[in-house]
Amino acid sequence: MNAAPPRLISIRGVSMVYGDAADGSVVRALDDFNLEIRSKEFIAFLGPSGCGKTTLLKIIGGLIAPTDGHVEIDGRPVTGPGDGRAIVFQNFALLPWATVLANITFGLELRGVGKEEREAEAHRLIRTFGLEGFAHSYPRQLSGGMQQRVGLARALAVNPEILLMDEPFSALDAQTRRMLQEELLALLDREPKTVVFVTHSMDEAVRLADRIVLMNPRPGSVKEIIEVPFGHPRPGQFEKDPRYIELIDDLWEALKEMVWDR
Amino acid sequence: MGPVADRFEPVERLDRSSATGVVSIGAGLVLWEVVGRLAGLAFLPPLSEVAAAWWEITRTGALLAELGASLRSLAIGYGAAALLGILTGVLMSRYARLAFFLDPFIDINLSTPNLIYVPVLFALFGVGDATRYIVVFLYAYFIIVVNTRAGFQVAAPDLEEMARSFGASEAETYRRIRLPAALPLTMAGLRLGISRGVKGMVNGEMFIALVGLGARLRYYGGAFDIPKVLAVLLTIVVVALLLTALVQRLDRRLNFWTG
Repeated sequence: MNAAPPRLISIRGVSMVYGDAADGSVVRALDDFNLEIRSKEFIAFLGPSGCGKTTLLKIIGGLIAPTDGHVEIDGRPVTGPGDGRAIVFQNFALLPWATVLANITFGLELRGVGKEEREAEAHRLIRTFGLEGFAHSYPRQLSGGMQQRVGLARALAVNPEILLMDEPFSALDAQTRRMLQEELLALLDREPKTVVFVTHSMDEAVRLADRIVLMNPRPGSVKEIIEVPFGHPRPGQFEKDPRYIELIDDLWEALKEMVWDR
Repeated sequence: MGPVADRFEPVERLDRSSATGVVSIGAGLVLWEVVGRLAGLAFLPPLSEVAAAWWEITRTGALLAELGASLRSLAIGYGAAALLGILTGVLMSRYARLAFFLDPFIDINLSTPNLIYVPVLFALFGVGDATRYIVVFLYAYFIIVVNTRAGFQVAAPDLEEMARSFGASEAETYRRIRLPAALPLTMAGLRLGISRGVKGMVNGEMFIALVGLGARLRYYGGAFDIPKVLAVLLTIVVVALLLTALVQRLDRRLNFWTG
């Protein structure tokens, strides 16, 4: 046995084909995608729209089954959604008829956690995300940033080992986005988790991730894997580091090429 | 530049509180009184005369007894329409074959005056209560079916996906997502159903069995007692408004989150 680092998520030869071969409406969303994600690693999938990054996230989450290949978590193949994984959605996906409290406890309730226990956990998360005073508000009464804090709290409530985030901050304005990025990083410093984060923002990927998986579009596949040279917690003002600027430049060159290639 | 809709100023933003309703109805009543007095037409007695007639038929108990009979047929007919209408709508939303089979019948019945069934109902049930209940039922049922079905087909794929990601079973997803998402349209169906049901009630009473408020209308109409005819009509309008308000209230309570 060699002393390889523990591998948590293995994506093995995953392909995804949508549509019907009979009428020629076939879309190849993913083609032979391979990747190993280490435990407690923050991975960002970066690529232009149509590169299958959201599809891949849903396959890891067990929401859709790949046409070919499979995903393993700790050696066990993924057959559906389940414990240990929670998703944060791009459009928040909050229940409009439920209070903040009820939205946060949604996952716990489905898992049969008792009322007292799940509400105690929800109140803890409400404090973590500065949502005090909004426990009994409804989503439409909240700003976008606060809604996604609820989405994040709902995911964390089930205490997942793996956090799957599908462009979670892309619907927010720049300042709010930045705030939530900082909050997420602070949270992960306290409670390290494996994070798979889908984004189309180069800056976001560099700001958050340990490794950036640059994806080719149509069909989606790994173009390049880039190690981010900054650890967690990120050093202060790391955006002024020449390596940061260089990295953004490199990513832009690669992305630009993909966009022009089409 | 924002979406197209943003570039148009709304005509006028009105405070849609109950106060505006009171004002407009109040103005209408005053106008009625004035025109009635000035015109002096037999078929348009002023409001005050109608009010006096209303008090008379109320005092003698004639109106109240008939109101009871009317509300009874409404309760039975509408109650059955609500139950079966929701059931049919839910089943149609689930089973495409059933929906395919029923769709034409429902479309036809929505656009046809439901009174055309009366001759058949006469033959089947005679001139009696059952016929009136069924008329109320027919007036309310189809609109409830259509709305309930549409409600249960409201697509909330993002919410369903979210529920599944937290391990919700098919049944749990239905109960936790589909059901609450379906409520607004279902309640809209019940609201439309109650006002149609009142129409069915009055029609049934006027044209089928001479009972209830409809019978009173026919009776006073035959006697050319216009103030009393209008007094009964007003009573029917008030009943319809109250019942609609009741359903609306329930709607708002259940669907507070849509506001």
